[in-house]
Amino acid sequence: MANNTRSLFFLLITLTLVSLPPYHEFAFDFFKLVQQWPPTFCKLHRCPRPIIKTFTIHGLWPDNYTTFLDSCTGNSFHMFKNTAFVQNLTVRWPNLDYYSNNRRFWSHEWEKHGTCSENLYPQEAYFNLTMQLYDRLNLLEVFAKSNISPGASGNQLLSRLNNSLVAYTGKIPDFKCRPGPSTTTLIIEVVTCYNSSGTAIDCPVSQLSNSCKTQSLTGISSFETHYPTQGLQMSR
Amino acid sequence: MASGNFPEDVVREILLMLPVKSLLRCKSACKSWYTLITKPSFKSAHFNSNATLKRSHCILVKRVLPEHVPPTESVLSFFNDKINGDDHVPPTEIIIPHFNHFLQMVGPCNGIVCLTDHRDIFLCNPSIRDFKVLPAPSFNYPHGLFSRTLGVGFGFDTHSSEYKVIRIAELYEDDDGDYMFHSVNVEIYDLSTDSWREIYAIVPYVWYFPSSELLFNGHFHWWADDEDHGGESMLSFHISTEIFQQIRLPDVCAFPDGNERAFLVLNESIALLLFNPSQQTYLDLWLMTEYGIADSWTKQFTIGPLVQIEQPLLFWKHELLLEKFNGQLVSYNLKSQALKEFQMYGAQESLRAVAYSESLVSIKGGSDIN
Repeated sequence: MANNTRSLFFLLITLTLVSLPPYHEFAFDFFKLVQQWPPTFCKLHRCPRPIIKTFTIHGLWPDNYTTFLDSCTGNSFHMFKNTAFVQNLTVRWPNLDYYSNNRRFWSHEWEKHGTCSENLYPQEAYFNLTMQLYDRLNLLEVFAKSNISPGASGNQLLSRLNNSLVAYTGKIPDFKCRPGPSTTTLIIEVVTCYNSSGTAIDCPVSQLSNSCKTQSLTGISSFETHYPTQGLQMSR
Repeated sequence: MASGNFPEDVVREILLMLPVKSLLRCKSACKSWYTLITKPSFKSAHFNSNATLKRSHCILVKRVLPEHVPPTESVLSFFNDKINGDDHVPPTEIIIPHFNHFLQMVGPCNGIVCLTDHRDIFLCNPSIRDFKVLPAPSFNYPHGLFSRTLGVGFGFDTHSSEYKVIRIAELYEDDDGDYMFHSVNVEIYDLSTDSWREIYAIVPYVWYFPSSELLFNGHFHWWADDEDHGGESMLSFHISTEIFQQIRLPDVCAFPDGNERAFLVLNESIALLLFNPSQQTYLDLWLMTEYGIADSWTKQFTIGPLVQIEQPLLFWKHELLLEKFNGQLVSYNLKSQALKEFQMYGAQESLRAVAYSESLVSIKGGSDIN
């Protein structure tokens, strides 16, 4: 009889544990808001036309000062029912790749990154926070204040962009690049960092990307626009 | 069949003069004709015969129909010889299912074209509606490396008599969401074995634009970094010997210089067009007058201004075929400088054109387009 009670006791414990919400083993220290530049992305992937000419959201990546976080245990993505919400997301966080779609993109971002901050931000709150942080930082406007516009290129471009962003936010950002034609370097993403409440902080210096450090002699970075530049009056 | 009254070599000479369409029907006429027509020696003699060369040289245009959104199929259209003739005669068309907007068309080679979006690769002979999907390369790259196609090439090795497809790919690490270049790989597909192999070659980074991938003179060409001198070059690959070489582009090419480039063929030389797609497009034409010699690049003349040109497509006799912003096919006459518009449209940027001769050559392991 005592054995049966003990077994029952253990069974009850197990059932209780199983019915609890998922346990989050990874604590995240800060967020990385990753914005992407579609003209560069679309040189590397196939994108339906027309190509968007503003920065769009790639994702909000919770991270750690010591280890890289991803694919944390958490709830699966469920598609949003509110059409207004979906509309807002579509404008700011569109899928760019011909071979994918919005739902698949958001689902991938949630399961790879959103789950790592789910203890503080369940799915809807996570996507909401991302949109808020994105709306607070219009990169093209910030760069325009320093007279940098799409199509710009040159040896100093990266430091100009960096200085421009630091001047605006007061915090250290990160830039990501990909090789471009003729040993140029194309800017593809801009990263800004925030604490878990959404306040802007420096991106950790030890984790800054190396992809923009050009190895070529010319060192030309380029903030490319998509070719051809349709409708632009170019004088000969 | 009355062929018993004619010696076989006479029958053969007659059949060699017929177009592909007729020959496909003749194949079913009787067993001796079937045997005759399906011989590889007959097919190659037919392709090279004077009758074929005179008759069947035409323009093959690939496009996605503009009303298809999202696009699910491509259309291949044959323009007959005289493009100054009737526009309202609809060209012969073939619909290729499953293909998408971004298909590049390279070749042709003995009537076979290679179609690719750098993800999937297809070989197709539209004359006989034969096509084949190439198997994906299945290499075990070192752990943690991803591959991305930079360029695809296609051609015929005259020494081994086989078709090859070349894939140039970058290998890179995706280190916590951060890209790090690793190396450039070269992989070759042999149609005869239906399989891929790697070759060890030091090649520069290759970059794609529409009409950057060019088959010419037994070599395949891509646009590449000139890593020794800085600047730009054509990377050339000899199909038979599988040796790479680089040919520098003229110094006027200094990316990013606001111009687009196009590699085409004009009068049996490689032509480079530098142009700025806009309301008023000018195209500077350079010719590589001696193949392989960078110093032989010579500027010929400037075409334009032309209104709203998206890209040049093909030199055809005295015409330059182009695509306009609205996806319309047009042609510019190099002699009269007149611009002619065709009633042919594709989704923007989806147009490609090659000079094409029909052939009976079937792709080994290929199947009929339904």
